[in-house]
Amino acid sequence: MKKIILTLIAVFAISAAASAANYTINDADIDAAIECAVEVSPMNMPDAPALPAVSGKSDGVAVALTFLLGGFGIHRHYMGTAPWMWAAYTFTVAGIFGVVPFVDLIVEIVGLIDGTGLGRYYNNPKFFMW
Amino acid sequence: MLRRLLISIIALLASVGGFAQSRVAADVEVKTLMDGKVTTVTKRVFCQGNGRLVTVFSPAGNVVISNLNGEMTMYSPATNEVFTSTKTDFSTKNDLLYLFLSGRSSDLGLASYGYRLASSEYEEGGYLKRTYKSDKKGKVPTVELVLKDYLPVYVAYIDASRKVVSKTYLSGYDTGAAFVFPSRVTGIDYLKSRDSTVTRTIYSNVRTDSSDKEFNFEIPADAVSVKSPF
Repeated sequence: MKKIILTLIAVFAISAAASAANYTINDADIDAAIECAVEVSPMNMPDAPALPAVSGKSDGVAVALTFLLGGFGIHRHYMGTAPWMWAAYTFTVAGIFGVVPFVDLIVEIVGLIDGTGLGRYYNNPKFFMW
Repeated sequence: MLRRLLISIIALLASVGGFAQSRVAADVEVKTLMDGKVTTVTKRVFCQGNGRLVTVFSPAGNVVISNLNGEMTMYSPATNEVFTSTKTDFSTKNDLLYLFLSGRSSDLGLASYGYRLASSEYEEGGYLKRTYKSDKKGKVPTVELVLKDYLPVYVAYIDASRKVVSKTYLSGYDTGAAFVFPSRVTGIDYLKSRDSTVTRTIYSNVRTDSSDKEFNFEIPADAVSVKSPF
């Protein structure tokens, strides 16, 4: 818990320090924030396919697609979304330089780990599914 | 002053393909931090001048092969399964490594996404700020790209209400290397009100003289083709 709080403080500090007028960022702050965080590796996730699935879709496949093809929004189509979603991801430079698909990946992993699954992310037509 | 001039010339040449390489490989580690949790993705990438990109993910060794035409093949060595798909959106034309390899780093591929240069101005510290606009629906309307010594160092996406939704910092250029490329890319997004997400990508062991066999990786002939789930 302490680690998480420290990380959140560090992330907030980084965000506050990185202003538009400043075109560089303090790498040491970034490294420290990452060092403080709790590692959640997609390679060490629980047996994803065994977890609850929605509408016949596999949460494991959804995570795998996010991992491999998240930049194109393919995972969103697998999970059910608006037909234009692939374009939104692709035209925002792979989901705004890959940030969006990586956030997708994280929230999916968190969902798998805490046992809630990905059900709440299925059939979501919004660009940000979380 | 002379040193700075030389660095600028080298960077400029590199950015327009003056030191064009036919292939480049790198080890990549991506760490994403959100809500006190961090995930790590490690992969090795092998990019060729013709746009063929081979990505090998660790530790499972899953391979994704893609090219400029949007032909994409995913292969799982564990199951010997493969599936393919072709969409123009799978094209490698705007992959960061390919952008630098093809000498299109000066706009990071924004033009090819329909962004047009709206203004350009010099700022203190030797920065050149270029502002790109897009009128197309569904796109972030404004992108600010900042270059220093002709190399991109900062990109910001700004929404219609002038709020910065994402910032990306590119750093760690080795201007003395044969292939000038940022060894570190840090992205911060402000998509959620309660917290931001930080993504740190570190490129290491960037090499242009590599003869890694992965450049010519081919899917085994006996791989079982599976139906794409999408």
